[in-house]
Amino acid sequence: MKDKLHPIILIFTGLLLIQITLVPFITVEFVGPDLLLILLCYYSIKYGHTYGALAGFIMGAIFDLASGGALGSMMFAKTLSGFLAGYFCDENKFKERTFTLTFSIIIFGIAIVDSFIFTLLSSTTANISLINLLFRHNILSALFTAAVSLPLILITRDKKLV
Amino acid sequence: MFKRLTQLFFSIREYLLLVGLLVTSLTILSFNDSAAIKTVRTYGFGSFALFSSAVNNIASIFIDSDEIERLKKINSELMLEVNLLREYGLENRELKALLSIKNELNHSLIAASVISQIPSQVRGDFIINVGKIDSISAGMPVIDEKGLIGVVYETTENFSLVRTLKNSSLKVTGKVQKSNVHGVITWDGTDLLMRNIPTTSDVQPGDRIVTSSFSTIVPPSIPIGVVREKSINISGLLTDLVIDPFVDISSVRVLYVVQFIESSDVEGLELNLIRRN
Repeated sequence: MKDKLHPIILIFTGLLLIQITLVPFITVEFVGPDLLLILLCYYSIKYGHTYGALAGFIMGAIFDLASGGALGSMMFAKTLSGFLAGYFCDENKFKERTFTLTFSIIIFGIAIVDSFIFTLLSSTTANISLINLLFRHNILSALFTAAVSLPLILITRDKKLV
Repeated sequence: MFKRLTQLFFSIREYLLLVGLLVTSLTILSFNDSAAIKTVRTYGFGSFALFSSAVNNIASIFIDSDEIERLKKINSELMLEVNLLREYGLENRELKALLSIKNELNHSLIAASVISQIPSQVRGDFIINVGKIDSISAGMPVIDEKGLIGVVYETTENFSLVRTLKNSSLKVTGKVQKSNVHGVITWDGTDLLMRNIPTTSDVQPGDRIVTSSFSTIVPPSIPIGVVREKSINISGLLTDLVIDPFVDISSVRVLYVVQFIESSDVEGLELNLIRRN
């Protein structure tokens, strides 16, 4: 487990920098891709629930610390997302699920859950229109994330990440 | 019995781990306002901001940022001045004796750049490249040449966390400039709203919203936005004003921190819900 966590932490650190500094440039009305989720889904599908939940927990904690936001909100969302993505872990179908359109579909579903949970925990007011947010923004963000994962599938198709 | 329990444990260990991690997350979340967690958070974003700042510096090599920043600063100062003059014009028209009102333009502006931003619909926060070393402290308002952006929430030596208008936790007292109707402005995740305004108030779409003199956080008369529409509550007695903010917060890159020192007398009234550190 420890050996498996090392590479993801290295790639994650680089992606986190990109997510916080460069992604805002392609973000429209706070709707932007979640690069960390793509990485998390990839490794969760590869290694399963336990790995996904642990990696998500660590990723979320670092993100919360780096962003200066409420500590625990992204931890919760990413832990759950990592665990859920682990349901698609199957050694025999790994390539089929990560290097095809299926990967983007999985990411779309997980991104909706992740974004919604994060929004729910980040909001401190009771007046927030969560259903509205789910339909107007979370789904758009999830679509953006899924769309960004498409070129990544093509780029990483013939390369082994770990 | 023990064997069965062991088997049960191993069969559900993934779920136990998940529950453990989720409970840990929620526990940390619930202690977010404690001093210890605040210290960890401040240290965390301060450290990471160093890396973000380095990345931004590399990107800014190709931009003549000094000239742009100088012009934007002049724009911001002019915006404050124009708005103050507009305020005086309205007040003079109403023939009020206003010489005693204290809203002079005597606040200095500190230029800053956004070095990171969280794309979140309910938690629009920025990290900017000025901090305690630049005389920034929590609670100072942040503007650009178009109007109010938010309020400094936390500071480290070199960086600050800005809570923007598009953060559901920030509540700012504003007023309709034409009719002097005051209210609390909040972000509901989709729109900027001034809630619970009496339906009989003289407010029309297109009216300007500025910061109120009741605010303990921001100086009065900083533009916030214009009224897009009025939505009447079920009771019919109160109205929520939907506001189009002047500033496109998601695209802000350069901004200014206003060195505003609040009146301790007014702060005692606690009209705003955000508290200074």
